Amino acid sequence: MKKAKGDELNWMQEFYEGNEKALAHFFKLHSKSLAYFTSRMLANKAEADDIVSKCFLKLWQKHKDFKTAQNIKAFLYISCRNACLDYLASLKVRTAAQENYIMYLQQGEETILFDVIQTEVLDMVNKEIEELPDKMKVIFKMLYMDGKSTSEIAAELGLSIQTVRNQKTKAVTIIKNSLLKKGVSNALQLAFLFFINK
Amino acid sequence: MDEMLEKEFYISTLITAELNGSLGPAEGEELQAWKEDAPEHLEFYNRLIAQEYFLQEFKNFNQIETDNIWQLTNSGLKGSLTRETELVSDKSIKIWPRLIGLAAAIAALGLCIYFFSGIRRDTSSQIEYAKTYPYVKPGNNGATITLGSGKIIKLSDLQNGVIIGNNRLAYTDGSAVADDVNSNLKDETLIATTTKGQTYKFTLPDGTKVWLNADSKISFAQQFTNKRREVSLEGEAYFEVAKDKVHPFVVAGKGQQIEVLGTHFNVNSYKDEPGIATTLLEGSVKVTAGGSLKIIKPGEQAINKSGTVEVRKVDVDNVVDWKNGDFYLNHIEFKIAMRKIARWYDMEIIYDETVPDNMESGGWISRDKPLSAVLKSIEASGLVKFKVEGRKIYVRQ
Repeated sequence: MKKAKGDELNWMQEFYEGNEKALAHFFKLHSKSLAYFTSRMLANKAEADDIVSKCFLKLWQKHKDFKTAQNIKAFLYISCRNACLDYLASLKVRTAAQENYIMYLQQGEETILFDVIQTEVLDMVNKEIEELPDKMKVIFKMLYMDGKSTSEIAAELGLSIQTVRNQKTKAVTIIKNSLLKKGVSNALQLAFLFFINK
Repeated sequence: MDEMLEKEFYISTLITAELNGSLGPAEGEELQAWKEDAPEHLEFYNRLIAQEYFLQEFKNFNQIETDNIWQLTNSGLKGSLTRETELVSDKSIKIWPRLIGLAAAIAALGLCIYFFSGIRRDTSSQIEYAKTYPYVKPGNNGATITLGSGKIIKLSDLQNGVIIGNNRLAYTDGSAVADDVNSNLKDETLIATTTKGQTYKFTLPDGTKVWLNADSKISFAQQFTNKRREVSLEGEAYFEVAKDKVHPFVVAGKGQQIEVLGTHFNVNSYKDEPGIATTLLEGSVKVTAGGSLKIIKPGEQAINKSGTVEVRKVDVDNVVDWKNGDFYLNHIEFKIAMRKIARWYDMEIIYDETVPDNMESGGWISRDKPLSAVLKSIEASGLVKFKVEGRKIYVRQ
């Protein structure tokens, strides 16, 4: 389901008009990347979540200020980075890692650039995985994301251990073929299979 | 480039394309130039795409849960809404100009359930909400096709769509559905059926796309050899009809006919919903039922109750949410929302008498979450409580 340019214009229009749905749309699009981006900077998940939500609220308050979806994305990244910096600066006692990180961040705008690129690449790859047919996605995730063992999966899905093992073999074959069809490079395919076989 | 982060977003698309094997030569050169631009660039690049690092970071990324952030955001939003009333009230009046009766009563009573309402519970209630529900997995892709001969074909749940050609049935990725099926389909009546918890997409010989929701049945009569392209429907489907002025497309079912030339619309004719709801997104349709004939425009919905057809404006997101993999449940009756959930998770809903009829729900959640996630979100609003036993969901206040 590829989104056309027309869709982006519609969403920007809705966003400008203050339609909550548009906020939900951009939240869906970017919350995961921002959560990843922020949690890499802070050790504290609760604080990271709080910062991301505050940045979406800040975004919403300025809902008339954005021309393009990319403007919105950029604003979100920059707000999060600044909020992280403020938070780290406010801590009374900082770990050595946090001190290093503050120095790194304070060097200027350029320093967040690599984090942004990394986050964006992971986000795009993740969105591709999300487009796989449901059942394949579920197996995929249970096997190598959740790190669930064969017996755990068997218990959870109410299947026999042998069945799960068979499914695993089948999944590997299907994923291999499917990724091939989707044009995913050999490198990435092998990488995923490496993970599954762990 | 004077746009913030524009260069970074661009470089990330180049790197992703490279990982996909879809990087063109010109772009390849651009990426190479960027890598050579500064030693930090090359260092960062090498570190990122190193297999083990990339996979670890990918795992970290994928495992991130954003439900908590949405709760926080939504409660921040509700908090500010008391000042910025324009966000809700004006919009509602504009979009729903003709709502009277029930909906107004809902608004007046102000009984709302908001998902992710973020009403902070005290810790004692938190323990209650932390109770675990039995695992109920969400619905998935699945359907069966019955041929004219009576043969039943079970469609793969690893695929999500089937293309019906004049003499071939194939999945959307090109693979054949079954080897011995490809007789002359032109003369057959095909019936596609989904049970509760299933959904599938079909492409008809004329290029029309049909998404079939759970617990539904659609039959393609006479494979379009006649003057009209006719299908009959029970349950719910979303259509994107290929334009063909010479052959009108007709959806028949439960005493009504919908005739279109080429358009996008949703038909909801579940038996447990009060009427047949035909909602138009694009184009134009004519609904004929009993003695009435109504033509509706995009954004409008025709409701057919036993032959009487009324037209009203609706929020189409509430109607086609399922096709996009979501439950979009803003400003609809709570019980209608629960029926959508019941069909997807194949559960029965049993209401305690304390649950009023006129509650309104709000919010959205993705359809691929287990049932427990959906119920927990609704419970967080504090207005209802659930109990799950086997395939029954008990609801009380």
